[in-house]
Amino acid sequence: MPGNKLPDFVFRGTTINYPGNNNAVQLPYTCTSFHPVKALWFALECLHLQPDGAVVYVAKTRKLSDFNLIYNHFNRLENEIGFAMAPVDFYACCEGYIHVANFQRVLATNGIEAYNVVRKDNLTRICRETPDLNAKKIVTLVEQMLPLLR
Amino acid sequence: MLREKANILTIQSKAKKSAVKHIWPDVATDANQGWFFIDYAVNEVALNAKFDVLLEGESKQLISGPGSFSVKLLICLDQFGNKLSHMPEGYKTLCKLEFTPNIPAAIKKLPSLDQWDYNPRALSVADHRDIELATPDVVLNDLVGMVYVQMKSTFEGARINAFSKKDFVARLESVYHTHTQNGDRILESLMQLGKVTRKSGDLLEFAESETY
Repeated sequence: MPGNKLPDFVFRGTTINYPGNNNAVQLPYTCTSFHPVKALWFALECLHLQPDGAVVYVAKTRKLSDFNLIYNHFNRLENEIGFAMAPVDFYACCEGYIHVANFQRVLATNGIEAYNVVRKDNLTRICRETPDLNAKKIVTLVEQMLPLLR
Repeated sequence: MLREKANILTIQSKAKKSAVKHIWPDVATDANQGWFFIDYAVNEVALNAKFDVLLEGESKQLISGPGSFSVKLLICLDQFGNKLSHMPEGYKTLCKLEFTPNIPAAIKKLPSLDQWDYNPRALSVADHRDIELATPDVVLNDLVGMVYVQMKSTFEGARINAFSKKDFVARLESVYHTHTQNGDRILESLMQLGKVTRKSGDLLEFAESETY
């Protein structure tokens, strides 16, 4: 993460209330990204499972301070941050979630590429090709997402 | 072409041992083993699952058929160093693989990296039973040469000098799970290319030259 300082927001692309797989529940851990567009790719990859339930959760990291970070040496591709908490506990700490279609519109109005056909077998390439966003831009996006959160 | 629920591992790169050490203390490997960054799993894969064909790039073109090597999934780690009881669908993993008899040259030539990263020339390993030669044009363009060498070797290994069309297609089906119609077309192509010739009556034989 930039300068090893925890960013203000993290994002998780998934389906509504998805509990995570057995490992995430039992250990527990929740994978998030500080890059909202990369989180969108993960949500889009879920779209075929739940066309109306593919969403990006938004969380303020200061609300997650009671949970330990899980050190991830390999976070470059996904800008990943792990938290030692079950996904359902993470959702409870979130500001809410935004449906992928609404988030795509927010990104598009900001001139950010938001439309991709995402599958597991092209997710790495798409993450790799996603440009970095600076902290100011992410805050701007979150401000525009807030009215659309549920 | 892979079946929808095929077991497949897409190997992005070799993993530097210094990178593996960040999450797993025992990085030692035998000569036929290695650590590899594996792309997001399309389907769940069990530990000790075995694979025997090699596919190249995003198009997953077959570059090595069954019989030349096999590979087994020994250890599967997630990005935090948790040892997984299997490779879950959707996970990217750091895995220890064991090849028999040796690590294929194409695998050895993969880059050594310290992270997961996109590699357009990533190699995938799969089980030959999950491969269908279901697209004849692709078969003709890309796979006839491999099929010829593989099948010739198979027949010679079984000391079969002459074979019927039915025998050939049946063997092709058992190895690659081709549909009969595609098997017929492959054989027809091999005959058109002079790789399989008529010996006598209904019996066929492989031509001597191996120009592929």
